[in-house]
Amino acid sequence: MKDVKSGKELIFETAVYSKEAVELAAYVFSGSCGVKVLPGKSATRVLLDGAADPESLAGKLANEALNQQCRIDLAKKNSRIAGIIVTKALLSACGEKTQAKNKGK
Amino acid sequence: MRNQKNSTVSVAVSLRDYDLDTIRYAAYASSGAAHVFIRLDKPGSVVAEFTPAGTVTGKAIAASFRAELADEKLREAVSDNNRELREFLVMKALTPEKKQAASPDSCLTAEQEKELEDLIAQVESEIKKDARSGRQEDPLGITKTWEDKYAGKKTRKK
Amino acid sequence: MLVKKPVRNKKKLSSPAPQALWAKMDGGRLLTNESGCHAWVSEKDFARVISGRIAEGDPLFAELSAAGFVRGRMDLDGLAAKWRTRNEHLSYGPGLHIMVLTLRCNHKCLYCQSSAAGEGAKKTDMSLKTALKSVDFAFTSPNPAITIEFQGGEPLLNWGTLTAAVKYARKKAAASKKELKLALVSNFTLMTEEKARFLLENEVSICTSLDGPADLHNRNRIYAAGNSHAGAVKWIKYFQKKHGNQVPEYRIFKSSALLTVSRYSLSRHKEIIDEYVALGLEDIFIRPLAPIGYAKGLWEKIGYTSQEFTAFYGKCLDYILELNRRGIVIREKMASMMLEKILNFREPGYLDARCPCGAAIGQIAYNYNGDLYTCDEGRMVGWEGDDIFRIGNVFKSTLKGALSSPAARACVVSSNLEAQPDCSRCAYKPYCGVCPVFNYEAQGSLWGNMRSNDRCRLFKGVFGVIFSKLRRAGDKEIMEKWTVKNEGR
Repeated sequence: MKDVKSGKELIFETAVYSKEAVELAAYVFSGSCGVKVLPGKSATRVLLDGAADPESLAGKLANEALNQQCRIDLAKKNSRIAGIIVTKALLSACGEKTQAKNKGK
Repeated sequence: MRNQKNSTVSVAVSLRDYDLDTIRYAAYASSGAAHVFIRLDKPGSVVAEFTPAGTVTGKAIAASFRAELADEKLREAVSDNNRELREFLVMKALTPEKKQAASPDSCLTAEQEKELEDLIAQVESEIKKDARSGRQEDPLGITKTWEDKYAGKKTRKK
Repeated sequence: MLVKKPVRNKKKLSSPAPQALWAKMDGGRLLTNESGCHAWVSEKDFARVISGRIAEGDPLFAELSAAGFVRGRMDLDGLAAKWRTRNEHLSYGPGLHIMVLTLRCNHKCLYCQSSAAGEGAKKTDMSLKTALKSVDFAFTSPNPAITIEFQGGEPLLNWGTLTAAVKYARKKAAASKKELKLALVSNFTLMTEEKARFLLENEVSICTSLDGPADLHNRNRIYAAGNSHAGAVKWIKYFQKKHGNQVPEYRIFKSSALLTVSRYSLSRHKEIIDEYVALGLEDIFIRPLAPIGYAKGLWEKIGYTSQEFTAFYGKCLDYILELNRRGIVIREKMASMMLEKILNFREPGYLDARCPCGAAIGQIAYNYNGDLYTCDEGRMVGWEGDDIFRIGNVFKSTLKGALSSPAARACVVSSNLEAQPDCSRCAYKPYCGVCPVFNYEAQGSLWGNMRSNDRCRLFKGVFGVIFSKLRRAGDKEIMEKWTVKNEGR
């Protein structure tokens, strides 16, 4: 994290935090202050501006980026079972008869 | 472990010992008590930085992070090991049950099942016969349903 | 569809670890699994279980293999059946239809989440046309059993529309062969004999709020025109008496009361429970406050932390169990519902704690103007000016259209515990659920961040209390009787 004039800059290395995770986190905090996302080759920079407590907000945004990244990590492993549940729930709610298709492995 | 600034604690973790997903989740698990930031360190290593955000000390958070690393590694292995099984169970659960003449768990042969069904039918018919002849097993009407008790006395408004 | 034979894990494993989630508890570990089975093991035994070293002849073998924690001895049919019954909500459409007959209310409850308007705001009454159209909409649900719940504000302020909707719904039920339940949530201060008779004759089940003894109740629930507590108690007694004297023409359901815990409640658990017992109420639902609606603005004054609520809940449950041991019939509703899942592997219909949550797919809220929302809490967010949870309108949408809306789909996806980093790993996952509305209001996104989510901490606290009680034979015996299977209703 770096202090910049009237704000804070966070540098999220792409090897650790995907651009997607950082963008999602930035969106969550976009209502709290000025947030600018600057994607780069090896890192995504986030500029925070106008926050009452920039240090604290930066920390929360970093936590949110980690939260989003963990969610992305999980999706890589759990997407099949997660998808089955959501599909079944939505189709049943609409009254569609569902039959689980077990794609051969 | 290093103290930076005032209270930020850093913990270096080798990627030979834990993969990045494990490190990220273990760090995330501490994010309730701290602001967490992970950065690359020397090749093959990352550093997790914890800045306490409440009453728990940096030292305690770092210890908790290390414990979580081990727990998450185990959890990942168990989950990996059982992923297909879980998916199978869920698919099986969501598949409509096929109605079968003999339940596979009943441990009865088809002949025995038939014998049991005949016996049940016989008992039911005897109960009905008793009821018609007035020999009731249930003098207080405890086994009567609400509808049996009240339907037919007056029309229910719906 | 062909059901595959049991899958053999093709990976070479050093040990056949069973499918399990775990939490450290009381010096050992609580184990749970996908099917919702649970077991307690010591730390030493945990290592053996998780490395698959529980063989036949081991003292733990019988219990653990029956619960699916011994990989080579799994009753897959039985485990799948448990998963199915615990998740049967996945097979049905919205069952609960909340009709907000008016936003007008004669109370100004401190924690009001319905964002009630004053009695004069008649433009917030649901019109007859909208009410009947809403009933029509509810009946398009594929669920063979639906409940229409009339709420507000204070629904008795829109009596004409209420009576018409009740009659219309009953007619539709008779024609459609759907099982219909009608329910009313009211503060009772506007109840009269005539209204009560209509409700009873039309088999509308009645529910009110009761926050404890008079001073506490009235402090939470401000009623300028009189004594809110007195009004509630008068009619609770009236309906209790009617229930005790059933008539052949119609069924009279037991009336019920809901408790909302505010900061003022935290030091008075015994008095609150005693109030319920004195009125012959056999269920008490110890409901936590959520920072939604008015409560959000007054949180500093009436709110509390998850730890404070957990401590209060623990004391309540201790006292309720003590009363049970004395022969007094009183059940805690949240525990009863969780126990239904934990002990009976059944879905109790608690829309707040299931996966995915009940938003849109389990319930729909019909605002006074016909706008449809994912749930009542989502409607309250809409009233505050943010329509993120709006899924349609009764005059313009079909059910399919509403359930296909971005809001509905987003709520389903974000409340799927399999996609939540913390929940997917949590030992309480088989029994829990997240609330996208809470997440949005408290944390700014539907997904939320469970590590710093107070609702998550609160539920973990409640589960911790319930599971620790289940470890004691005497308490377990009492709590087992609270579940539907064992209720003598």
